[in-house]
Amino acid sequence: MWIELIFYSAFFSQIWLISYHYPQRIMSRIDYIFEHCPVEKYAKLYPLGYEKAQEGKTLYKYINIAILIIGLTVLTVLIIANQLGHIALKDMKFLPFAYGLLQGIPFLLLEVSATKQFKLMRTLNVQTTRHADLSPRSVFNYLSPTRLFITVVMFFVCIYVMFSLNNFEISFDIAVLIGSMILSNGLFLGLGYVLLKGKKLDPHQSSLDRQKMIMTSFRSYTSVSILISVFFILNRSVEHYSIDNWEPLINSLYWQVLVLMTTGAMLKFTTLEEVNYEVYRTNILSKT
Amino acid sequence: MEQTERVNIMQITIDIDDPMPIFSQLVAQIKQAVAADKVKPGDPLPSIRQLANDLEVNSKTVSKAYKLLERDAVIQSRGYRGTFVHPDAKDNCQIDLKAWMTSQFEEFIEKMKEAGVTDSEMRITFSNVLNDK
Repeated sequence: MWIELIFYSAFFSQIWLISYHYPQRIMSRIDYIFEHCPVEKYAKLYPLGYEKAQEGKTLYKYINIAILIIGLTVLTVLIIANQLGHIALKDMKFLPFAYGLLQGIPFLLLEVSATKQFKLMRTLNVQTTRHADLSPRSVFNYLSPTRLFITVVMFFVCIYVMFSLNNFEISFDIAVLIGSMILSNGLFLGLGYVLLKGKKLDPHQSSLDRQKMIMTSFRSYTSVSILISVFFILNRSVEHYSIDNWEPLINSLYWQVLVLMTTGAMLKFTTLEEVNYEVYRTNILSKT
Repeated sequence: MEQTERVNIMQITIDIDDPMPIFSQLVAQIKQAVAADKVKPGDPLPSIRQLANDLEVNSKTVSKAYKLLERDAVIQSRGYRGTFVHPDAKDNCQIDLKAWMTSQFEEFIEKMKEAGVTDSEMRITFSNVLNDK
């Protein structure tokens, strides 16, 4: 019974954290920008227009409310169904993932919207002067060797553990897990390379803000990579030692820690008061 | 654990509307940075790709600027390790190759004129020699 209670608490925490707490914090940041950077003075911040930005925020808010209601309803139904003996805890192992994917939709929409806006910013940018740092950007400007070492070690430890729990045989499950590990870590490597050597997403962003953004991203990538390794080790261990009842709980906690390390880190390390908004001022839009 | 924010990084600025070619703006600004001690001998410089992407210019433009700076011994390439400020960069920055070349030509033309060579003969010979090279 107690494992069910812990899972319900963890799942409630997942609902609250990802569909209420972080969306609230993100919306309060959007409000801060609306308030401190009015469109008349900071037009470059609103390439799609102020109304579109407001509409986007409202849509984000309602999607999160809908997902929150769905989550609470599912939790209530689960508790009742479990009490009535219609569903066992081990049958709920995919639920935190499935619901987590649903919770990820508003975040994905935010990312897509940001990418669109940066693209438009670059198109509308008529500034003829361009700036660059006369210093190379390397991984170790943003990441300590220790952190990188731990990330790499965890990757190989995870592969070793997965193989050893499978008696060093390659099965379909193991191939899928290793493939997804390689893919996700490859994605982080690619994104890291683009951040270091690629083009600026935001054409107006100040050098210092860009450095902070790269540092935060690198921290997130390494944390998530370590987390994926730990999760896969736990996932295989749970299956190997037949403690299936723990799986829904581990899946829910994994999803929450993942959001803590990505969105949470971004919110923690990017303080809005420190961002240089002067680069977005309308009066320096163009010299033409 | 992580490095602290990299502050006070030397920045260069180009103006794509400036009549001066972009590669010349880059050469001039890097030389200025060296002369003003904003970058020191041995300091690493950004890769061609990084600089080209940051400035949103073609990498061939940056490559051309780097080649000119390397020729003037203001920077030096160390293969895969990257590009660095040359140990004698500050002294070499003072040398103006264009001015030196002009003075050499003036001296040469003076000698030719003293020998009675006409302007057109000089032009034709110069052109022929240059084409043979």
